Amino acid sequence: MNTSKLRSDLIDCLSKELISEGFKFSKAREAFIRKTDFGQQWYTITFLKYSGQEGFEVNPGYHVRFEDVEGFFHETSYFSEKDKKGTSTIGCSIENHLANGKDAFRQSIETDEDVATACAYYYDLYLKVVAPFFDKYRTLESLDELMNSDPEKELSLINFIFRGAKGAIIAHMLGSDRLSDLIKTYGEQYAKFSNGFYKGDYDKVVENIQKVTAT
Amino acid sequence: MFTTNPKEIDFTLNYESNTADPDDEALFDNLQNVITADVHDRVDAGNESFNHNQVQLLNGATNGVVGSVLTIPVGAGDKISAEVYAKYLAPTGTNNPAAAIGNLVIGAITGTTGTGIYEGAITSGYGSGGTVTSLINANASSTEPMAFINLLFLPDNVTGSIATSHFAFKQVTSSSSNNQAILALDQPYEAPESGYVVIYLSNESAQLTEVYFDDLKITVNEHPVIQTDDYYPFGLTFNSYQRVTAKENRFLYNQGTGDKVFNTERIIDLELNMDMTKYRMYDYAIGRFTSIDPLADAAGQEILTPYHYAFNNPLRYSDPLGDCSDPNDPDCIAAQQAGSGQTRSEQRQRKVYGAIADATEQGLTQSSTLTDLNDAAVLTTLVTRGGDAVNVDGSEASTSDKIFAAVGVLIPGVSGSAVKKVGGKIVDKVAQLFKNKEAGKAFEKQVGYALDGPKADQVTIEAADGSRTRVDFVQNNGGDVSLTEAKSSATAPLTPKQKAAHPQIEQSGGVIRGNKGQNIGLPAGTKIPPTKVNVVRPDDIK
Repeated sequence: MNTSKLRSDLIDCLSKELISEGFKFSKAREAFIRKTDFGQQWYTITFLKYSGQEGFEVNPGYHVRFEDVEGFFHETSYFSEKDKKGTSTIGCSIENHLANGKDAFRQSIETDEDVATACAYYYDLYLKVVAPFFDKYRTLESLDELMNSDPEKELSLINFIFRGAKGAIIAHMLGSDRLSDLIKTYGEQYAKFSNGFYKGDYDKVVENIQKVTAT
Repeated sequence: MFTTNPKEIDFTLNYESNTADPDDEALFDNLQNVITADVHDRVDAGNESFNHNQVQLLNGATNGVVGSVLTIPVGAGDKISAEVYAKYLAPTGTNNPAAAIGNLVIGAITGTTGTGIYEGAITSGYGSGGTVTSLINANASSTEPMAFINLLFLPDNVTGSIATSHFAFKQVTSSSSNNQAILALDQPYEAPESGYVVIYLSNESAQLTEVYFDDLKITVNEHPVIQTDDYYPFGLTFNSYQRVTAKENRFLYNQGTGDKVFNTERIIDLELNMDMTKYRMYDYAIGRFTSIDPLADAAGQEILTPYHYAFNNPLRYSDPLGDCSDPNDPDCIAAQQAGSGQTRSEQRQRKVYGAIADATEQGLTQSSTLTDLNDAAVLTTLVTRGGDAVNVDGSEASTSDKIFAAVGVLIPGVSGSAVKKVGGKIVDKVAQLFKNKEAGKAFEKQVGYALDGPKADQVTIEAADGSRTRVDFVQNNGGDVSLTEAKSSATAPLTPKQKAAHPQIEQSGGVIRGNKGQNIGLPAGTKIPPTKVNVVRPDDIK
């Protein structure tokens, strides 16, 4: 069975289910994307192929992009213009979020029957897991609660590389009283992580926040 | 079907209107001529909460022939005892009793007054059978009144005359002369089959004789059998009996034996009238399943319709699962193991159910690491299987089997706090399962199973010189990036691209390319610091 055909069949099948929910598939992003008033919601369908494997494997994920947050972040980021469009504010694979990285929610697809099974499975997954996730994280307040309520708590929904910077941006946008404390805490973390590799990028974000606040 | 707790049920009638001494009066019929006559009442000394003074008078005249009547549904083997207290006085004149027994019996059963066709049928039945009437007449010459406690058994389907074995009675004795004395059947009557018993009192004396009855008591000792069914070979039932007070058992035909057992339920709702096996519905009226055999391709069935039941030989075979008629047939077993004839989704469904059962049995299933989605009330349960890396049917598990066995099962509406993580155990278990197992193409997956914590698979990283390499796993542990490359043997070499990129990434870091990194929150364009790519070989995860 042609792998490309299987992929396109799965996408076509899921598109029929998700189009009524407002999603459109982006081949470049490997995701069903829905635009919202604050940004975008992505239901990602990552295709994995292991050496020697017939067909492929699907690893689903979900992401939420807040345009204002990403825009502020990229004012000082090193990302290319093309890559700036592909960053989410929070999100990861569902197995990383809910199953601590153990292989879960995956479907192996080798035949047409697998496509039908996987299509039904991933639509069911959307209804039971992805849609509630999108409902939960649709405001800056919900993201502030997630990222900033306990800065020491490790999160799977946002990588530590971006957590402090975007957490501070959100706190700034919401006018949080804790902003200065958060900036200090996150700064200390960046100094430790990866031998301070990301500290410079974080400092640029903080500098931008302080500049905007001053004006 | 038997019950281990057969009931003993009493029906009492004390004729008293005072509710301080309750009885089952509402169940009895023909309570005419109940009079207040303290001198004739049976005195139950020491047990009275009030003055008992009411009895039923039968004098053999019109409306005084047949007294209290109770009709009870009974099952085969039920034993019915009946007793009453009776007292008679000296005759006061001649009498010509009406032959109204049949009327009352039928009236009690049908709720009518016993007129019309029923009367004629029973009357002729008495006469043609030459039984009941002759029995009574046999005692007509006695000096005691023709007063009786009677029991009549009527099968569910009454045909022809009533046999003497269906009738029992006891005539009053001289002990009842001017004295309330007990009058009881000589021995409990055992119902020969399912039907009804009619217990009634009567006075058909040739002379006008007053007989006072009191404190009637009927006891039914139910037989342990509460349901019986006979079967035609393909499952249609006949001669079915069910005690009216028992809950119906619908798990009847084709339950299986030995290793192949399933609670096949007979579905009669909406007049469906089919047996629900595990995989298919079976119409026992025509001896055919209603859909094709999922193992129809199994050898030995080529000449049979895929709708057949038990090779058309139900006396020898059964098929409680609906997939294979002979659990000992090698071809059938092989077909089951190979999943022949099943769709892949059906095969997988069977495997995942098996995996759940295996894992549950071994107590190592449920792993839930819910973080901030608890409010969504979604619980993710990881499923793996214990023991060895084999399928539930005993065949060796393929890579996709292992993947599928680990697919999460969604259970909405369950709080995440109810289940705590044993994720580490699962990883350990999986690592053990895969230890020393096949190298090669599956090794990459094995390494993934063994890694702890969130990860992204097959992430492309661009080195400083623009060369790219696909790293099998990227992780974040405590804020530090880790990169893992799986090599399936101790000597498998790095590819040229890996040889070029790995040192550069270790030296000066790289940039994430493509979409795979977003599974761990690293979108395309993300820089990673200088990081050594760990090459993992089979010996490393032993």
